[in-house]
Amino acid sequence: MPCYFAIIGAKDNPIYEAEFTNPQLNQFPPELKELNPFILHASLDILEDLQWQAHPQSGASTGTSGGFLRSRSSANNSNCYLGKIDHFYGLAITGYLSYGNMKFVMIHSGNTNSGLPVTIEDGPVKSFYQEVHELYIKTLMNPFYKLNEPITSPVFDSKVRTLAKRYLTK
Amino acid sequence: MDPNGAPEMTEHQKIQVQFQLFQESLPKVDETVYRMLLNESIPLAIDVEKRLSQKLDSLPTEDPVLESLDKEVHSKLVLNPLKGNVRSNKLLQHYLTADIDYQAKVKLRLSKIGFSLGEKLSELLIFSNNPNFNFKDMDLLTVMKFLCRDVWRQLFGKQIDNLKTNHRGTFYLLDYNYKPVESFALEENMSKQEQTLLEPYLEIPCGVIQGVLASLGFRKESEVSCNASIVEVPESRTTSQRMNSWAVSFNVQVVPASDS
Amino acid sequence: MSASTSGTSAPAAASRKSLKAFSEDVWKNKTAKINAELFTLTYGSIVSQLCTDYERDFTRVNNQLYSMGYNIGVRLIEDFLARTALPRCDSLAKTSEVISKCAFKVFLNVTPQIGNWSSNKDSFSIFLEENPLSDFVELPMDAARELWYSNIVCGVLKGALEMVQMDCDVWFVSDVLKGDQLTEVRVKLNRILKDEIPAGED
Repeated sequence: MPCYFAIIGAKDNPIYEAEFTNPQLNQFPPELKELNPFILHASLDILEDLQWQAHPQSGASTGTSGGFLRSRSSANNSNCYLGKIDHFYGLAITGYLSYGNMKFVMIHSGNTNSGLPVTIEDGPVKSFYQEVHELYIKTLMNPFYKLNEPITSPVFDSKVRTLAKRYLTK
Repeated sequence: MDPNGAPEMTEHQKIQVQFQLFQESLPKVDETVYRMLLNESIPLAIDVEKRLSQKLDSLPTEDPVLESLDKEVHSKLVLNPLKGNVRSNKLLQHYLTADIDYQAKVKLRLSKIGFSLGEKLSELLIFSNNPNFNFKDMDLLTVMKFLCRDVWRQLFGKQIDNLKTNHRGTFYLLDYNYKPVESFALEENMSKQEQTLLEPYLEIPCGVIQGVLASLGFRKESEVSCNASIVEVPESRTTSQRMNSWAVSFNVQVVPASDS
Repeated sequence: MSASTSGTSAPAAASRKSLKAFSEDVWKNKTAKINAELFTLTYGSIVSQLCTDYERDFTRVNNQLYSMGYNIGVRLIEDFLARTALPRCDSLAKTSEVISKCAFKVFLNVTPQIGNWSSNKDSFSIFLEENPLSDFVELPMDAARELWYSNIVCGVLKGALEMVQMDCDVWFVSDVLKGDQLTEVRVKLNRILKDEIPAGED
């Protein structure tokens, strides 16, 4: 399924964006393609709300916190992944927060013909986010990369696309 | 307040031990080299200031014949990377005799190095499965504890000894045995000169503190300040292992954001 | 360290092996360690600040890094000799071996290869396959031609060798950061210093 992925900086500024599509099979319809950045930005507020939401005490109420909060409370290092945070017509939006307040967000589009809502497979999507986070940290380690500035490295781009192929657009 | 927090349960200790093992499994380099790199940054910053201020004087000495040559040839001919080298101790003496403005520029340079380090350090340290950190309690006090414990341990191999706060955005991070100046053999009653010389050595951590705070959301310069000073350690705090009767106090002020 | 493994095997091979094992032991048991990424990040902050200070005049940055390295090298050698208690090297070949197998190992936990000896044996190359200083670094376009990012290494070697009475030139020949195949540091011995007065003291 086609996806639109973006990293948004601490000042809501775009750091990186990419579209993952399979040219033979499915793409974003052109009218939607242009909307993608707007849809993503609309979700940022929700993301920020979630960030500050009280976290269930570890162990105590894990079962009761359904939906997107479930994955956050499972393990201490995976609470960056927020799961599905929003939807927009047939599209689903997932999010991931780095501790340094970088927002990783993605629009997932289903089969555009069926019109059915998209189902998110949390496992691979979360792995994708975590590995992109790791790539992001490596970018951060580059002394010539300034925090909160757009990532222009072609190496980063190609690695993210490789991850997308592995986890998202099979 | 003890940055270690209250005695924890065994489950928590287990996670801590795991985290410790994970940290130990990461690639390492020699600590001495790192200390030297950090400490040599001070003479370096002085040297940069010195060379920049000499820039105008040194221009006429350039040889016009050499200048006209191809750049590659030129660099090979005049290549003496040690030209202008001044030994570290001389640079420090130079700093002592410089005026306040000059000293301030050196300190600012060091604080910038610290800032860019701190800004990136937090993401690195937290990403490494750090069990001491969670979104749910990412308030200012937790961030300060993170600084005292994780950041300090990485940088100096020890924690901050004492964290004091008025719970209204003012924090005092006391280090009774500040590693970078450990070898300076400073006496109890420091001379004015020694104090002046000590000051630039406190700048990188100040920058680191501000960088870490910035990366965790305490961003605006007007809202966050950090400066360091030498304070006397109260008698009751002095133990036999600790020789110094003075400590470095990092004073952090965070004005809460006015929105929300 | 005694190189008495088995009397019949080639002594040269035995001593080479022992130097490696010896260094491994120093690294494991006599070395306080810190996170390599922190080291990388700190050096990176210093270099990028220098690039800003010198307004991207990379020749000046190179020289400043070299000078900083020199000032570290003249003191680091003391720590090195104290920790390893190695005897004086009787040849440049031996020196090169100590640099690669012992010094780089003990300080940076890497063991670069030595090669490319000149025919008169007065210069050799150090091939840094791993370089903890420049992990994760991508040079910006404008720096790719002139900046020798790890130039501090040359300064350290220059300073350290000078303290053991060897006047050498040390410089980078190539760096993978610039798109080169290898990272190569060249060391050329000019002369053995007779007196203990270090040069560069004004």
